[in-house]
Amino acid sequence: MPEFLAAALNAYNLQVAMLITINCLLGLSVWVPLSAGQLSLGGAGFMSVGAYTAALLTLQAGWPITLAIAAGAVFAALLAFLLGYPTLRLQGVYLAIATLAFGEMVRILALNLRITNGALGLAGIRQMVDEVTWYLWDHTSLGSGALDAHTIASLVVLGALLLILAVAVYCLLRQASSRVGRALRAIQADELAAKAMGIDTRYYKLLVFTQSGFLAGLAGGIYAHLYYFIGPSDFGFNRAIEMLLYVVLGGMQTLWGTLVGAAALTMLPELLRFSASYRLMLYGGLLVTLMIFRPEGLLSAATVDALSFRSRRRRAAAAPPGEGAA
Amino acid sequence: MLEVRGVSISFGGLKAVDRVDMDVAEGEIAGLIGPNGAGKTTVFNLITGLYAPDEGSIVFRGQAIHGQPPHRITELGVARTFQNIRLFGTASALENVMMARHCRTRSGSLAAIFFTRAFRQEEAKTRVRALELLEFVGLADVRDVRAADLPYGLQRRLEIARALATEPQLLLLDEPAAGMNETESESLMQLIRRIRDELGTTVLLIDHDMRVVMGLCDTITVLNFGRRLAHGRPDEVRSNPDVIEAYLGRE
Repeated sequence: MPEFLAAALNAYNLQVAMLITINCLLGLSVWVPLSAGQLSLGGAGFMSVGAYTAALLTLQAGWPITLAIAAGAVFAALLAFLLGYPTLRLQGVYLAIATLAFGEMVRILALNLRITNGALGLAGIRQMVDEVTWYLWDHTSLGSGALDAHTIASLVVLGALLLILAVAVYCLLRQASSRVGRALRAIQADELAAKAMGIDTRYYKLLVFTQSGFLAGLAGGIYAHLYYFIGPSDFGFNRAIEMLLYVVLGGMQTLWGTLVGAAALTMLPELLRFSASYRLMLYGGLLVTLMIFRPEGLLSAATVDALSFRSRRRRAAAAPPGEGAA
Repeated sequence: MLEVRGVSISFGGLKAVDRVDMDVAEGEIAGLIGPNGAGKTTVFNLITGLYAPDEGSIVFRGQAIHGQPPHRITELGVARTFQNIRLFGTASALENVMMARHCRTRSGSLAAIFFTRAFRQEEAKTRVRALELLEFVGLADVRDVRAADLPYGLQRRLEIARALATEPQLLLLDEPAAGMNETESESLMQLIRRIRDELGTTVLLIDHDMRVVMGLCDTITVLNFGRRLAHGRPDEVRSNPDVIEAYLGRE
């Protein structure tokens, strides 16, 4: 293995890569309801629910990590469904405020409940990379080469996370290009007209809300088992806004924009570390600049269309022979 | 086919529709006219479930539909267009029509994710049906154009195609000829006749263009200040002194 590759695979870089996948899931949890015109800021709350549920299941009930993460996601989805029932009558900014209030409620509950250990949070959560490392030590001879067992374990976990993200993206893309996706776009474009065209808007709003809760809960469970510790302050107002930023700055017209936004905004603070105490100022300045010069986000629908193979083929087919690409 | 009986609705202190009766028979082209603010669009909103009436009943093909949610009423076979066009602007013409196939198709997210055979067949059918409807209203050439980028007259036609995609037995058209010149409204009248004759869809329309209304409708209901003023064949309505007074004032 080349030296530079081994160097690039250091613990820090791998950790950032894992954080990017988690943040992509969080961004998608905001994008899904937005694709039906619903702005939900409850993501941090659902992430918190997923994280605490999964962490408690592994810490106190001794569940396997994967099962606990899945259970956390399902529980967050269930909660989103129950919360969606009364709140989805609200529109626009009112829905945003109601969901934000839900997030705060979760935070305050986590701060005061005994089972969540209050402000101290939960410590000593089992860690995915550690578990894989021990497995490698016990059952294989891997880790004696250029890469140590911990790095290999990190790569395995990163691969698993990327696979989860890929499955989520695939499902959402398929959904978007189906009858369901058309219904969501209709609701986003004009809710009243959508109703008049026979679309049960309430059902679909509840559907995207539940999916959003699932994705945020999933990200929360993974987050908890990537670090040893979670506390109420991990899932506060800042987190909710950050999740929205991924979507808005990345470009909300397509799902890809969210992924680009999550990756860019996760790496940006890391890249700005050189500026030491000016870091957050620079970060904020860059966000403002971006919004001024590219309000549609980093990746607009037009950009995606220009890059896609299908549209290239379509253009080639549409161009009359002999005239070339105009 | 449609029986509206004693339907009223108030907004604040204003009685927008006051104990209105109206009948639409199967297979006819019916007109709903009246001066501005007479409550015509409100009647449409009541029929399509956007408002629930304070009193009275609306029965469609033997089934009470007042108070039911709009999507349910569309499913039962009532579709509409809007006075101020409400297309899904960023979607293409074809996609607009496909979106309205919703209540006549079934596949959900899971079928889409697993890309089942039933899903693919339904998608293909949805597309074919939407293309047929675009062809029917004369928009086949602009199927990939964003709805918001279409010229005004074509947007009106697209709204009709979209409403037809829900397979209505009763189609409500809210001022379909508004803002059209003579040639355009002439070809629109032809289209409305074809909807009745070729698709067998009953039509109820609101319009201010008397040439369109008189030339097209089998029966006409006249509203004034939320009340029914007259009902009958075009020639009857035209010679009704109350109607003349409502439109032109008393001498």
